[in-house]
Amino acid sequence: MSRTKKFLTLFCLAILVCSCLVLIGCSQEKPAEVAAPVDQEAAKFGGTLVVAKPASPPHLDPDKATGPEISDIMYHVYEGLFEMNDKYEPIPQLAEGYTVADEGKTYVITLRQGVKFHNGKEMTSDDVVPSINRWLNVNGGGAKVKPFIASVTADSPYQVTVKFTEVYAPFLNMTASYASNQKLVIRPKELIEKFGEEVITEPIGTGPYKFVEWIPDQHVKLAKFAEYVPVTSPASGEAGARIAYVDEIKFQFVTEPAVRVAGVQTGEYHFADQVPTDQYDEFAANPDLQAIIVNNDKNMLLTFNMGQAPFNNIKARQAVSMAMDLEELGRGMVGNEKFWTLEPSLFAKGSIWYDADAGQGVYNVVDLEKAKALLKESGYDGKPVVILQGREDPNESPGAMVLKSQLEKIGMVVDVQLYDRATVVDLRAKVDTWNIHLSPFRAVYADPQVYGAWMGTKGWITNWDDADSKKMDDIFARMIKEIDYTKRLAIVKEWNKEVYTTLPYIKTVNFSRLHLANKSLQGYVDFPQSCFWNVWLEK
Amino acid sequence: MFNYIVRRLIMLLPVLIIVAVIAFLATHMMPGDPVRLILGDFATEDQVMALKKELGYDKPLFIQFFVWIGQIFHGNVGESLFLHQPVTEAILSRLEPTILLALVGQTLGVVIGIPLGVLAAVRHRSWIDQSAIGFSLIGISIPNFWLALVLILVFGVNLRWFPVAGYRPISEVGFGVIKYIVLPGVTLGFMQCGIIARMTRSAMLDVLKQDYVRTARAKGLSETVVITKHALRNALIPVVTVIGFSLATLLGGTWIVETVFNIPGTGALAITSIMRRDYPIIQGSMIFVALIYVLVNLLVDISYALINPRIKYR
Repeated sequence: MSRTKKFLTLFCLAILVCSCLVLIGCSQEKPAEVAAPVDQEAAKFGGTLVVAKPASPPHLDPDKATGPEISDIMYHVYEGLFEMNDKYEPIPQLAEGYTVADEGKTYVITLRQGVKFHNGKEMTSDDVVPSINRWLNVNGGGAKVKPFIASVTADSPYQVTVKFTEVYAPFLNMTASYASNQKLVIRPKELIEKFGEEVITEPIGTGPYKFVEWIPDQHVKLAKFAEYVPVTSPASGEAGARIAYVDEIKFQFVTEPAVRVAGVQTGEYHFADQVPTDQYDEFAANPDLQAIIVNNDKNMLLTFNMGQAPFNNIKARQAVSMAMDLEELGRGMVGNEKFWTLEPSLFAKGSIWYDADAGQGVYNVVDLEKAKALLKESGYDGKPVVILQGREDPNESPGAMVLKSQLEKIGMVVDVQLYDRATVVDLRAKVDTWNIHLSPFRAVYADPQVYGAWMGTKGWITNWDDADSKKMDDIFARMIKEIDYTKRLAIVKEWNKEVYTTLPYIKTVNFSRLHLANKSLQGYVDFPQSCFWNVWLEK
Repeated sequence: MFNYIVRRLIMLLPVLIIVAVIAFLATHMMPGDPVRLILGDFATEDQVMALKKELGYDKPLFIQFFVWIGQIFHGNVGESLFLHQPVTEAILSRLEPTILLALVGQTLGVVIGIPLGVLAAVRHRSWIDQSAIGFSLIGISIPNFWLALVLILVFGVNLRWFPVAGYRPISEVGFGVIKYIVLPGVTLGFMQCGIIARMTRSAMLDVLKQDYVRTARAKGLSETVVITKHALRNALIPVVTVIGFSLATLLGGTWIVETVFNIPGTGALAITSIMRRDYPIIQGSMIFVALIYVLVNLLVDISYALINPRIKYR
């Protein structure tokens, strides 16, 4: 073949490759315009809302697992006796109201009348009592409450009494907690009798949308419940009035983020749950899209395994704390500074449990020389410190790499082990396979003690068992019994202080996920759990 | 030939048993605990042990194996831990899109790859040959997921000719299923083109040098007859082998393409099951893939006899 022909062939191939690259690089250059909040009076009824979710649920019973992929969908079908408002306070929803008596050991809950289940039956105490009992026996949140329960009784068709053996402060917060599917949802008693403690495969609730169809790994369809009667109070968080404007919601499971984005761009999806944050500027500049940063979303806790050296020694933990430059960690772990902040309080601003004084003198105080000295004092023997993380998580694995470089500066030998999630969960439950684990938590909780980790030091993976853990357990024990908010907040602050003194975990940064919506979706209000009542579609 | 086919089908049983043993051991010995994934991060040890007991995972491995084998002999391959449906039902319900994708990808590969390979061999060392080599190299080298995303961007987002992702079954949309299959089918076909074109070219170059091809030309036969009737037919054996192998791979499920295009096929099912340690589905998928490979290889062997009458099976 002549040189000319060879050159022409290679040139054509190069053009082909470059054209593909240009097409990929092309983006719509349009003026930036952020969608303004829309008045509900402009709302329109009708249409099918399509939501692209990144993960498929294993089943549709929020009592039987803790993953948000279930409750994100099914909390449109089910409602709680209480729901969280945007200040993260429990507000009566299926309850009309409640009184607390007997120094906090008795809750008398009045039920709303005329509330219909999706099978047409009216909700009464005959349904609420078995729902509470199932929640206590099966749900992860309810199971934490159960040891404190004396009795649950129906006083009348619209009144239920819950009695405790001792004061249990988190009760109402726990019933409204959406974290880890802890919410107490109300179902017909016939359904509970039919399924008992097994996975409920016939979802029937009282929500504005009723269950229609589930094709595993493909989609879940919900349809508007025509007989739904909303509460009259204004919508706030997950509490208040819920209006079903759209006729149908289809939750489509789309694992690939680029495809979720493409679907919103073409209008095939109206909402994409969790899209890459590094494309935020591009999304914000596109007038056909709405880039939604989730406020008060998550925080990343560096968790120590204190069941073995070196972190069974507080000096080693202090050394790590002083070696960590949290701003560098935030940039490396999350990236765009619109998506992360430094925040020493375990609960974010906006929560009634926020502690403005948390972490003083400890949080993000970097002193490498002092850190090296502390590490030496701890008796660290040079054995590799294993940071165990999930490979697929967009924050955990880069966070681990930044952490590695920071800890190596103080003389620690670090081994970052990245695995798939199933392996991480398995290894993390063992004592001798890891030393540090970055674990995402929510930035705001219904209650300081929704998690077993904060009811007792045995409730999380830290393997912590020494004099300091007993002191922490004492704080937890007092916190759980204190129903006066002001006094309980004081104990929460004491807890924050103890965390920063003993460092069983290190609070790093608060960070946010990014959702993407098509401009046709209106009325969406940012909340850590996506809710699609009170939204409508503009044609 | 009939005896040969029967013997091959009988040999299927020991193959599947060996695959079943390997599948069971591989799934249970890899790290990761499906129970903790089902229950979530904050499950207590009591909850974990209770569910393990319910699922039978607290028993010794050999007991679990014999229980499972016993179920298989009763026609029960198990039930998915996450989908709560029988394994056979889960796999069969996902066969339609996988078969469609495999057929489209393979058809594109054959219809374009074989003529391209023949042309390249006939015009050996010409610019046509060089272009064909370049094209096939690109087809083999380009990552599936990159090509998939480019096609989505161009044809889904910019031109809006096809949906960006998703699938609706034939029973729901009839011939409308085509629009969901085109982009993923082209993604798969592109790579198949490259592989088949290269193999065809290589086989044809060998055959075109043979004496009987020279004889055919010397007898005054047209070039078209020489190429198609004398050369190509003899060159097809290795090409059919490659086609068979790639068809088996496609029928087993191409998880990258299925995942990117959000197509609920057997490949996506297998990968999702591995990620969440859905032991029954993983085991069932491995047996299914082994079955596909054995059956496709049998078809390939039968086709040898059809292409080349000198090959006879007894």
